[in-house]
Order: sequence, then structure tokens, then C-alpha cells
Amino acid sequence: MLPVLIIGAIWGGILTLVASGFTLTFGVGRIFNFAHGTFFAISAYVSYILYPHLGYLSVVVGILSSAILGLMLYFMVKPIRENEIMVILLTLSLALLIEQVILLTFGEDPVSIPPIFKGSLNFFGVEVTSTKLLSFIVAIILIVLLEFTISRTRIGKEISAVSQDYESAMIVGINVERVFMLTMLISSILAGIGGVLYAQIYSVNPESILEILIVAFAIVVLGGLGSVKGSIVSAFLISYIQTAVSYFSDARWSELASLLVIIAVLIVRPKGLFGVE
Amino acid sequence: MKKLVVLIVLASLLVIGCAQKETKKEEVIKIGVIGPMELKFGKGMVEGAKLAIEEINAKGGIDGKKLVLVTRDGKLKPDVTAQGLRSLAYDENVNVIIGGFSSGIVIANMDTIAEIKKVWMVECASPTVTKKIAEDYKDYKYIFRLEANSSTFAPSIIEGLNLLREKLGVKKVVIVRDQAKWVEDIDSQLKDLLAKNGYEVVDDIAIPPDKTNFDDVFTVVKEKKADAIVAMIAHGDAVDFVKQWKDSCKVPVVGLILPAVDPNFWNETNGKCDKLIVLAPASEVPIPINENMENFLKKYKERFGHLPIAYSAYESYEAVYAFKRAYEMAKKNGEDPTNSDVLVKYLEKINRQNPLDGVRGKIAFTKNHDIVVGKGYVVNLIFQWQNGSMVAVAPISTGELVW
Repeated sequence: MLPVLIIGAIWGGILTLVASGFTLTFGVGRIFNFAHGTFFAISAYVSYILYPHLGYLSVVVGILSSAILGLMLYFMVKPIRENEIMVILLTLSLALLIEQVILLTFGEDPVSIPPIFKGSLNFFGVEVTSTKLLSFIVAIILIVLLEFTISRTRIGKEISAVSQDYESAMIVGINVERVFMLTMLISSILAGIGGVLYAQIYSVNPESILEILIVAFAIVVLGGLGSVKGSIVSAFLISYIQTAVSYFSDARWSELASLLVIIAVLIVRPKGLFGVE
Repeated sequence: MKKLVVLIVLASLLVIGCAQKETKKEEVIKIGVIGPMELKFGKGMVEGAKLAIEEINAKGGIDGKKLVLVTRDGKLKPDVTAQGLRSLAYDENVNVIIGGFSSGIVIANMDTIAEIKKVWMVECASPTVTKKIAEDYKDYKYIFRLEANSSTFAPSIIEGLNLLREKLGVKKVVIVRDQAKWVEDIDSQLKDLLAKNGYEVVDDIAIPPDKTNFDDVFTVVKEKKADAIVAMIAHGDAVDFVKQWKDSCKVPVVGLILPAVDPNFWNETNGKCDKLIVLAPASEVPIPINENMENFLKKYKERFGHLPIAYSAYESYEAVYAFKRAYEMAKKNGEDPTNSDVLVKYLEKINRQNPLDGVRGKIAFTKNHDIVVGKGYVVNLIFQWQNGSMVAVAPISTGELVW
């Protein structure tokens, strides 16, 4: 049982990094950002290109590039934000466009970044690499920071207000546009951090853009659209289901099991675990 | 009226002139290449064929005719490949078609070939292809294969494992494999051979297509006290598997890990593939195992600035030479080599008694148009990644297996 708890926790932390930005954008702006995986991949690819020249500074540049893309996307979406279908079409087109650009530039082969920390630690018989542990710690810190920012700071309260009712928020003098922009920025940075850590543990390829989107989408739908807390819980839930099935039964059933749980939850609670009206 | 007559005369002269120009057009031999052109497998096919065509043209072509390359993008889709095959046959009237990467695509288009009746030298491994040729020779005889039949993989993996056993005393193994049809067939054959060779399979783990995290797999390997992992992985996730293997697992991996035959695999895994023992089907790796391969790799690098980017390059290069041999033999015997049936007849003459000297070894076709794999011909090569280089260890060796 202990190995399942350890492996599930680490994988859950990584999944949280992937999904939290996606849910934040939807929760505040009601924006289905289908280009979320692009933030993730861009930071990884930029870091990969610059690593031979800048070393680990390239990781910072990678995250910055995601942030810049996030800001660009905010300005692209702004005029059509009220039209959800248009937003989906625009962000999905952007994701496909960038996927093609990456494919033409780097080919279909996966790329990865050398890990910042080498070696591994043994936890009750489970070898956990230092980078996985780092990712888990970073994920936890970011979750705490995000929760603290939203519940305790002024800007966080503004974000909460806009996510509840942006017209009322506007009436009470909240700069809604600034909140939208900031949310997109935070979302892209979270995905960017996820991308550079993910590429150190695993690898990314052009298909990662859509694969990550699907993973994030599944987590967010299970957790409840727009609920950051729900995303965190569902990321760990999916992770533990996959790990337990793989460990106790057979790896081939792990994805099927997690999909069945998602469907079952959505039948019982169509709004997801923590979804609200 | 006069003007009309002058116009008609001028138009007639123009038509006759054009027709004469058409008849004077140089006769060429068209080599069609079809594959997923956006992917390295398609690009490799084109580069391999291009190199062979340029070499042959530099020596005067075939029968005094220049070779011309015509390509179609199959986009790794059966229906698009079917369109491409028909276009190569009906629009271009090519003499031969090379490529058609992946078994699913090839099997789905065997009937297209029966319709267009063009020789197709395919690049895929499924036994179904040659089984169908054996069952319906009349329709499928136009298909030849230059890639090793996947039924030859399991004995080669055992060969690599036996080599490791000599060094480490391997007894218990865990099989880690793709959850895919191509592996299911090999898996049962492999298990039988493992048992016959005195190995104990302590687990057989099928991994779903998008699996990224392998901590659970390596924990099982450790708990079952396995001495080695026998891997069969064909997809991109191999990079993730190998990276995590190096960090989390101390037991050796022997197996068919297709992305690992790519010379760029060392960079893709940041060197984490060091000491990985890999089966390269039909020796399609840039290791100078003989003089022909050494020259081929040198010429390839000079021409394209890099080593073959995919295993498809070796096959398409040799496919052009196999075509040349068949064409010339037919011509010499006074038969029409532009007739596909004649071409089939002479490609079949490239057999164990009359092999072609290829870059991977001697090329010969079996009765059912499979390439002969085995001693004296093309072999499935076991190599090991060592400090960024690929070192062949069996059955041809360019160095020692290390652990």
C-alpha cells in the first residue's frame, strides 16, 4: 500500500501543475482555454533550445515565454470573450497552429531537458527521483500560494469576486480587465512551470499540446469547472486510481479505470466533485 | 477567309510542333515513394531512395534511362495512402513504388495494389502481409518486403538476453510491453522461448499507449526481484520509460525499443539510455557492421549532412537497387521490365541462390516475398548504447557488452 501512496502523491502533484491553470482561467473568465497545453509545451521547448547556451537559466526564460504567450492570448481573446464558441475555436486553432510550427521546426521526436537535481531517494522501497520530488514540492508550494493569494490577498478577493459575478464586480469598482489579464498570466505561468518540470522528468513532443489539454480537461471536469480545490482533489484522485490499478492489477487497465470513475462521478454529480451552480 | 486559313495552318503547325516535342521527351524510369512525409520515417524513405537514384544516375541510369523520384504523402492514413498509390500508378505511371510505412497502412492497401498492379516494396513488419501473399499470390504478388518479419524478433531478443546472462546470471525477467496488437503476437512466442531457454517470467506488464509515469512498473520489477526487463516498446513513450528506468531501476533492459534505434535517442533521453541493450530489426542502425554499411553511412552523411534519420532510409535505398537488379535481368533476357508481372518474376530471382549485395548484408527474398533474415544475410542486430555510441554486440560485434 505504501508504494501506491508515494507514487500516487508524486504523480498527483505533477497532474495538479498541469490542471490548476486551466481551471483558474475558466473559473474567472469562463474561458475554455484550449491553448492551455501550448503554454506547457512552449516553456519546455524554449528551455530545451536555450539550455545549451544558458544552462538552467533557460528554465526561467521558458516560463517567461509562456507568460508572454499568456498575455498575447489575453489580448486575442478579449474582443470575443463573450462568445464561448469563438473562444474555443480561437484557442484551439492557436494550439493546432503552434503544434504544426513545433512539428515543422523540431520534428515529431520527443525532447527533454537534463534534470536540475540528479539521483534519487528511496522511500519505503520506492525510488523517487530528485526531480520528481522537486516537482511535487513545487506543486504543493504553488497550490498553497494560489490558495493563499485567492483567499487572503486583495487581488485574490478581486479574482473571487469576478469569478462569482463579473458585472457586480465591475459595479463595485473592480478593474475586471486587470483581473482577467492577471488570471491568464498566472494560468500561463503555472502551465509554464509544469512544462519545464515535466520535460525534465519525462519528455514533450508536438502532440503533448493536445495530450496535456485532454488530461487537464478531464481533471477539471471531474473536479468541477472553475473550482481550483476541485482540480487539486481530482488530480490526486485520478493519480491514485491509476497507480492503484496498475500496482495491484495491471497497468493496461489503469487509464480505463480512471475514465470509468470520471464517468461515474459525472453521472452522479454532473457538475463535478466541487462544481457549483 | 484568307486570315482564317492562315490561322488554321498556324494552329496545325503549333500542334504538330508540340507533338514532335512530346515524342522527343527523354525516356525516364519513375521511382514512386509513398509514406508519412511529415514524419522522419517518410523523410528517411525519400532520402534513402534519393541517394540510390543519384548514385545510379551518376553511372548512366538503368538501361540508359535516368531515374526520376516521384513522391506522395500517405499521411499515415490508409485512405490517403490509397489515393497516393492510385495517383502514382495512374497519373505518374511509375515503374515501382517504395514505402507505405506501418503494417496497418500496408495491410489496408494490399487490395489497392491488386487493383493498380504495381510492384510495391513495403516497409512494415507484420507477418499478416506475407501470410496474405501466400494465401492469394495472384492478387498480392506485387508486394515485397525489405523489413524483417516481426516473427523473427523474439529469437533475437533471446540472443541478447543470453549474452547478458553470460555476464550477470539472469534468471527472472519481467516483460514490459506496449498494449498493442503487434506485441501480442510476439509476446506468446517470446514467453515460450524464454521458458525453453531457462528463464522465469515473473510478470508481464502491458502498458497503455499514453502512459508517462513508470514508477509503478519499476516498483513491481523491484518487488518481484527480477534480474532483467525484457521490453517491447514502439512508441514515443520509450523516452519516458528509459529516462525513468535509469533513475529508478538498477536492472538491465534488453529489448525491442524502436525509438532507441534512432541515432538521436541519446540526446532525446539526455544520455539516460546508456547501457540499454536494444534489438535493431534487420540491422537498420547507423553502425558500420560491414564495408558496404560503412560506405553507405559516409555517403549519406556527405549528401544530407546527417546519418539516416529513420530505419526506413536503409530499406528504400536497397529497394531501388533491388529494382535495378530485377529490371536489368529482365532486359537482358529480352523481357519487358516495365511490365509489373515481369518485374515480380525477376525480383523473385533475388533469392538465397542469387542474393543482392546490400548495405545491411545480403538481400534475398523468400517464396512469399519476405526478406531473408539470418546468418549470411541480413541479421537482426543486438546493440548497446555506450557513452553516446551504438555498439553492436550480437550476432555481429563491433565491441563488448558492458554492465
